[in-house]
Amino acid sequence: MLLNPNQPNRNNVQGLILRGYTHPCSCHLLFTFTGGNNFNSKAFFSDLYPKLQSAADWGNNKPASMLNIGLTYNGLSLLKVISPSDLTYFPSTFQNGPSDPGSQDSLGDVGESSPEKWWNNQGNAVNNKLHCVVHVYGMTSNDLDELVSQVTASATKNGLVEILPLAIKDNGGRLYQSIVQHDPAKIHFGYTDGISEPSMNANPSGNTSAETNNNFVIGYPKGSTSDPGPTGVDTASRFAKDGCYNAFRIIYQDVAAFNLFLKQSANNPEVKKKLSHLNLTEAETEEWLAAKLCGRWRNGSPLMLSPDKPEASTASAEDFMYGSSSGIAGADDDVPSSLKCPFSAHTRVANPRDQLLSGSEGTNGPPRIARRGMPYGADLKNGATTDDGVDRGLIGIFLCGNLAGQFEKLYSWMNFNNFSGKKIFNPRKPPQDALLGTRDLHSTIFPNITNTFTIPVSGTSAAESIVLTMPSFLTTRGTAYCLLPSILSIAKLAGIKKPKLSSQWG
Amino acid sequence: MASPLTMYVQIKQDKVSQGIAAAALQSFTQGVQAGLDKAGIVHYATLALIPNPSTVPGKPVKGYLAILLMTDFDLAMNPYLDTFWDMGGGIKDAIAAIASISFNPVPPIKTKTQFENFINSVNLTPAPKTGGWKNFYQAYPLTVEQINAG
Repeated sequence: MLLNPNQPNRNNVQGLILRGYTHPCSCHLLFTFTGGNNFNSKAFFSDLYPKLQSAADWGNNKPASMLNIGLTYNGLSLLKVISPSDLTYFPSTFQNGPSDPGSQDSLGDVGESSPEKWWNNQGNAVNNKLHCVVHVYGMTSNDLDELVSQVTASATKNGLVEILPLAIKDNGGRLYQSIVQHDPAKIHFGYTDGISEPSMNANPSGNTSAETNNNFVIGYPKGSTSDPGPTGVDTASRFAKDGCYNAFRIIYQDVAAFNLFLKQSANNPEVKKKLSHLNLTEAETEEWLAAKLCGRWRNGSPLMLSPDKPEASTASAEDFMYGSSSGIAGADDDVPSSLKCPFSAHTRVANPRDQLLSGSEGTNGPPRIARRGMPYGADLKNGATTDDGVDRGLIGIFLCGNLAGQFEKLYSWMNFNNFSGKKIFNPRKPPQDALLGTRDLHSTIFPNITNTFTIPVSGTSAAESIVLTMPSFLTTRGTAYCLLPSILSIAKLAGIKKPKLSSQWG
Repeated sequence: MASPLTMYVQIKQDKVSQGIAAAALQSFTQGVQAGLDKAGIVHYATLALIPNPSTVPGKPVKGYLAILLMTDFDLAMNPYLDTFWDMGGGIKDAIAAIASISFNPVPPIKTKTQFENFINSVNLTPAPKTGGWKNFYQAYPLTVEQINAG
């Protein structure tokens, strides 16, 4: 392919940025650069470099094991590859980190989710000294264990100290990927994950788009709506080029509470009455409610295409809209679509597609993030409504070029559904995302929120809808903002003078 | 919770910079009106010029020491600074103009990152690190949209 100055060289971009891996085993290791003996970052990155995976096509040679590396701002600051004055060119959101009050105004982590309770109650002792996250992948558990051992041995030898984000009783405190329901694509709530992703296509012509890879990879601003930075001529910008930000977020999922909620709601007389015309069994009603919460059936079928039941033919479908599909113009255009997919269904909030946005949201359409997450922790026994004490949830890898404009914007929408000025949406009592809202009715950050979720059934009025009071199913276990630097930048950290990249572009 | 933003920027003393500051004061409302109306999340915005300090008590001094932009907008600061940039027009131009006459050197505001970093670097009322606001009062918790919805 010809060189194009407006698209990144895939050989210089870390692999998980531009492609989702299908390796069934992974472990996500956290390190601090302080507290050990004889810290030698060059030797550490040099040891890891041969296994560092780029986004280049591996063809038939899928690696048995590989890794990617992220650095927090505090970590970068200690590596002395960027001058102190140039470090200030990084976005302040990245500099301050996710526990900063400015970010918490969007993330809304309170109570058991608050930053002081993150990382198994280690809180700010970790928030302030988490410097590096190494994402290790393997085709088998043996492949994974072997590379994890190499990484941790190098860390110990070179003065890094591992941080355990979970309690020791849970997989030794480490974040190991788990397989739910024997399906690598499932998360603990039973949904198939990772269907709706930005195209990540190259944008050689620089046409305005939120989907193309220059909204995620730093250094190619033409046509990007997220405008990833920094993009100057300073040492920070040179180091950051071809990198991407990762909002690394560990979210506990209370599966028993989720199952119990579905079961109790399915047996709610009001729900039964309003769904009587559908002649659903109790189990089918639970699945119907689960689909309404998410916007997709658990097999992945979107409600907009398969409103009545999951269908294999639509399980990975992406070709649908909310507003334009109705044939109605203006403020009522989302009423018909709400009868299929409720306004606050998770996938509709996270990506409202063509739904009209409020004036405060600008004219670029919804921001996108790329998700590369996976579950951690053992399965809860199928359908159980009593918790077994096992820590389980989501290892969230949310990729973006602009933490404030993409990740935090979408999180603020999830906590406060104020982004679309439609009739069906009550601005006096904004709902939250059906799966992810904080449910904190006393929140001063999200004023006057309601903890109810409205499912239009025969119409959109309260009498024609099911209104469920939503508990919280999630607890934030920790969050870190990392830069996933380019292959060349990590080579620089490793002291490799002339790293080789193949010439494939695009 | 609204986000208060109090931008204090010491400005250059040269004639051109002082003239830009004076002109900004006169045209501020007109310049940002359309954008802020469209955004629908800003409770108020006001621009003021801080006079140079007197060296002799009671004797006025010519010129301005600094420019002060005070505003208060709904929800989180980080993502909605991004929105103000996207809206372009008067808001973006007003911030860029303020940066251009800053006494402390500021790179030209050409990217979202520079926009975000400049505003945060001169904001005197960032969200408090611990314990909630101690220097901000609001009489009501409602958003502009909630108020307008009656």
